[in-house]
Amino acid sequence: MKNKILTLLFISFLGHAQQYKSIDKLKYRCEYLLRYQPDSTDVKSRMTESMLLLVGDSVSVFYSKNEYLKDSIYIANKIWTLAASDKIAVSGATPKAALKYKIIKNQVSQKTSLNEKILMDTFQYEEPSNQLKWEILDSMKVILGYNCQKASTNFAGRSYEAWFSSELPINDGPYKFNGLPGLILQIYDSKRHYQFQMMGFKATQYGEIFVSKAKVFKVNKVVFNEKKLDNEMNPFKTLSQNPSATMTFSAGGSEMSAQEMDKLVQIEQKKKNNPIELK
Amino acid sequence: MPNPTQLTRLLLLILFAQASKVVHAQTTISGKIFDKTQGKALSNAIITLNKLNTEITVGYGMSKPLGLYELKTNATADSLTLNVKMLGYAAQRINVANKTQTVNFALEVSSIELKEVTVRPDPIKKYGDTLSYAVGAFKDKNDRVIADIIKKLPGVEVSPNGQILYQGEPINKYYIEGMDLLEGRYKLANDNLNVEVVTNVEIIENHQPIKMLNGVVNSERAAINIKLKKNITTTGQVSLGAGLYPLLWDVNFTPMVFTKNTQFLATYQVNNVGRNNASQLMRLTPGVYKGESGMETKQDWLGIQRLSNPAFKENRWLDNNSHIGSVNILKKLKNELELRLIGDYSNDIQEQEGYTKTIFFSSKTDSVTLLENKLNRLYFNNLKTDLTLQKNNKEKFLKNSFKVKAYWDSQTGIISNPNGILSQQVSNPFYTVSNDYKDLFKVGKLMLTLNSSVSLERKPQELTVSPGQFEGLLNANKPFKTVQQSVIQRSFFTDNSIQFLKIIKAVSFDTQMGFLVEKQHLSSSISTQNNAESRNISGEFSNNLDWLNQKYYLNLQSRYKKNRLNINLSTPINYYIFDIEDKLLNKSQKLNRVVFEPRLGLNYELNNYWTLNASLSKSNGFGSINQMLYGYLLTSYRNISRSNAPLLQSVSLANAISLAYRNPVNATFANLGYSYSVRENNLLFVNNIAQNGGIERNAIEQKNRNYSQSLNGSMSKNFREIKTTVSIGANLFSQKSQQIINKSLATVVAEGLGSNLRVSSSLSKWFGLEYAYKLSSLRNIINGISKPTIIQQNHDLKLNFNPAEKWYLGLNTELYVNNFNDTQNLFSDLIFRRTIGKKKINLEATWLNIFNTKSLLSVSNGAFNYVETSYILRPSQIVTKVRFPI
Repeated sequence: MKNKILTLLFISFLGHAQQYKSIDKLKYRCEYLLRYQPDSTDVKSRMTESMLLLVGDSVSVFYSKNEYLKDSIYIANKIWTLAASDKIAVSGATPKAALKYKIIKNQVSQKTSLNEKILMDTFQYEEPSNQLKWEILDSMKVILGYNCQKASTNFAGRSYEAWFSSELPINDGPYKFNGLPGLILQIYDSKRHYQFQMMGFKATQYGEIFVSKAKVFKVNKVVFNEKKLDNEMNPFKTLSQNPSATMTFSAGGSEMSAQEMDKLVQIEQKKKNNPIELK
Repeated sequence: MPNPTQLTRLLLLILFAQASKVVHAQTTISGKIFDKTQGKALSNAIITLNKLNTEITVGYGMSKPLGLYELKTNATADSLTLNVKMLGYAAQRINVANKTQTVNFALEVSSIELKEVTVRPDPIKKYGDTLSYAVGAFKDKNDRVIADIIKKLPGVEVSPNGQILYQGEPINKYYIEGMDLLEGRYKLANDNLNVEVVTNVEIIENHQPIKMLNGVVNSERAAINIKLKKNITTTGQVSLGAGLYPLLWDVNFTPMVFTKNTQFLATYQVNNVGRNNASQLMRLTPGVYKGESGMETKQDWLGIQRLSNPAFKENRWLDNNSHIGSVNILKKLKNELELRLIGDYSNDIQEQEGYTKTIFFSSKTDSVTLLENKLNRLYFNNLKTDLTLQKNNKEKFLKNSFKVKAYWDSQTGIISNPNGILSQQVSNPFYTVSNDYKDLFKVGKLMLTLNSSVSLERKPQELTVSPGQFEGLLNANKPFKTVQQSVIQRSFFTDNSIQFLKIIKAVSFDTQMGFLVEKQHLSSSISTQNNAESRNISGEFSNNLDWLNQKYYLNLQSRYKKNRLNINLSTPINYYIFDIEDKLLNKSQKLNRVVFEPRLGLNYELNNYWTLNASLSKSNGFGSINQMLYGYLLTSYRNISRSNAPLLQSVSLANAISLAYRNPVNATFANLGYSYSVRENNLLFVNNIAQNGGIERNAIEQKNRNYSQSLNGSMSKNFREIKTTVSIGANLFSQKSQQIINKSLATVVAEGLGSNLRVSSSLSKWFGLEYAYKLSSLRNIINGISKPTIIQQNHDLKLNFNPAEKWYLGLNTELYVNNFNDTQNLFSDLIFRRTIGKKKINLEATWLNIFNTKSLLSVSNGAFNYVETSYILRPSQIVTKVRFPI
């Protein structure tokens, strides 16, 4: 039975070290610092993550810098050519991202998609781009030497203030934000629970935007959110769902059921009550 | 100064603008944007309308695929600045009147350069493969020991025996402040280290325990490192439990001291509540290198007739009185050397009571039924020490472990049946001294690993049975008082190898070569006693065996992976030399064989959901010293065996294929697998079953084949709407083998069918249930005659109540039914857990076996027998336990 579990994991591992493909020429590389607060009731829960926006001719990708570094290391090592154990070694040498999502905005199809690995599999959902109704305001300020103008919008239960610069004529921004006549350099919600701040902007000539060719399960946003919530709240249930294995768990010297373990997880998960998209 | 005409125009414009403002407040400017030289339409150009000659945007738009744009503004100014910007083109800007109009732009290609800003590096952020978790982030009031935190970390599971799995794989090291004090017996620290003294738990992914191999040979396993708050930490756990009836105790005292250069952990644990504490002393990490196996097994030559342990939770049946003590000291020496001393002592007395009814089938239709009431006592008493010196840095890895182990185990058993009372006494000590050496060194660019292990063993064991058994063989059919079997085994083992890895493109080659020597001597004798006279039976009832086995091996393992296909091929070539001789019996044999034992594994992903696995292998087997005795050995009161035949040799061919379906979107998983194997043996086993159930075993030289095949399938689905997961599974197997039973050749076919169902449902926030059902059906067919089918069913229901956050009440009920007897075995347990106060005092109360079920009746089968076992269980008991940190 144990072997079966290992086999399953082995198969899923092989799945995750897939090849990469280039989806566009890389034109601009923008780095943002994200400051966020996963627990709305606890200011101490604040975290930061370096994020990257890679802009190409018709596609842009926004994700954690650590994910980008991981992809780069994988590509440099041609991980798909390596033996399983070496793959694992390479993957072990890569930084780990706290935020695993990847947002791809396509200017041609006008679609924004979000990919995220949930437990063992990558799920994806798609939405139309440029759905935000922006109000352009008169305030101006300088960020990193660029003249920026203020704009405001409402998105997924939060109201945002954004600063964009028409000196950077790129209709894009961090996360799913776009639709302004210039790149968004700073954006934050009114409670300051999610704040994106540009740290650097660089034009490149020879780069490419790579995405993994790994298995992706396309679902709608409702199913995606259900999966995410279910796996966060009940990981042990999901683990023990494998039909060909019986799993038992123990904690503090006492044997516990999957349900009891999930209850312990839920106490912690309840503290992650503040996602960027509230509705 | 504008000339008058312009001025008039401007005035008119203003007037017009004012008028239009009254009519429609919004201005729409539209047009087309195209490439000046090629004339092609340009999409995604950004058009902004700014306050006149400023950068303040009042309206904007982007050009659509045909180059068309449209932008609206509510601005009241008379004139505005219209900008067009597009990457790769020169920007254009013109001033226009604030009125609805069409403005087209022809853009010229230009390599505009955007101003760049370089990112300052992140403030001290270490990238690596270590995930550090602050204990504070995971800690809640319930948590007392570090195990409580570890099990909550993402990707970590803790198995019932305490083994920590990360991403499903056992961890390979458990460090405290980077020092490996417990060498795999980390359950000691994990279950006892107070959570308050720990700041961080680090998961080191893909941990290569040997620093020299870091980045050269990759480890798939992770390690855990515990970081402590202070430089000198004194901590530990005390847990006190007591219960009725009879008087029960469960005490655990575990003090620990950690300083920068020395670590100390000791434990003393005692209980009689049915928990096998010795598992705390068991190694849990898998062997880091060859020869360092995780599990330790002590193989005894002789034993009493045991009662087989029920396949139920230990605390239902284990009647124990166990004491364990352990001292672990780790000290850092100069030159990055580490010295570690471990001493473990364990003592346990276990009692087994019950009866068995064994039905032996011979090839004919008749059968022998044997009833045995058993009362067994097992005494375990052992001491193990391990002195290890290790150097582990980037230049050098060296590890030498010297181990001494001594077991003074014994067993007594009393069997009563209609024929009378029989007593058995076994003394089965075992002494071993061993040394393991591992060294890594470089030759040019190649990294070589040298492994060398040597061990010496001694097993002087003795079995005494009265009254005497096997009268026919041993005492010319006359009853006698006592039979005594004594065995002395002396062994010397050594295994030495050298190993290296090479990668060429998509294929990696792992080569290992070495040799193994096994030199053993076994002497045994059987003596019979009648009244005062004692007699050694000579001849074929004694052994004086010299056994020498040498193995020279070369193993090449290659791996290949491309896209969705993964191939693994191992091609070992082994050369075996056996030299076996019994001088007194004047028997000997020599065997030289070169064998090739390839194995091919294949994994192919058909698409997102389906994966195909296949494997194919050939292997050879040779008998061990246990299977190669020219003279008789009485292994238990009713088993006597010898192998007056050549060495057992077998060739096996095995293949397996499986198809897996995984759809994580709707949480549906399914597996279907089939395996088939055939083994050809040169020896046929001969069993002579006497009327009293005594079995005499022998072997003759005759080729025979065993076949086995199995088919299994399973499926699982989560129904989100009703918070319920349902799994079903079924398996089918059949095995065919040949034996001689009571002088006639018998073809034994064993067939089985099993199925199971599992339902897990979280019905509400405070209540959930888990239910499992298992059905198994087994039967033997001997020479075409079917023997009765054993049907067993298990029901297991758990009701989980969480009346408040950190309160838990569980009611577990198990029901076991089989078709051999009408008894229903019903067990219910009630468990209550609660954590109180800031001191993290944990209370646990369990009421086990509420219905006070006295015994468990189960059935099992062997090749030619069925065994019904009744095992006397622990009575209904209530134990309360309190646990608190020191």
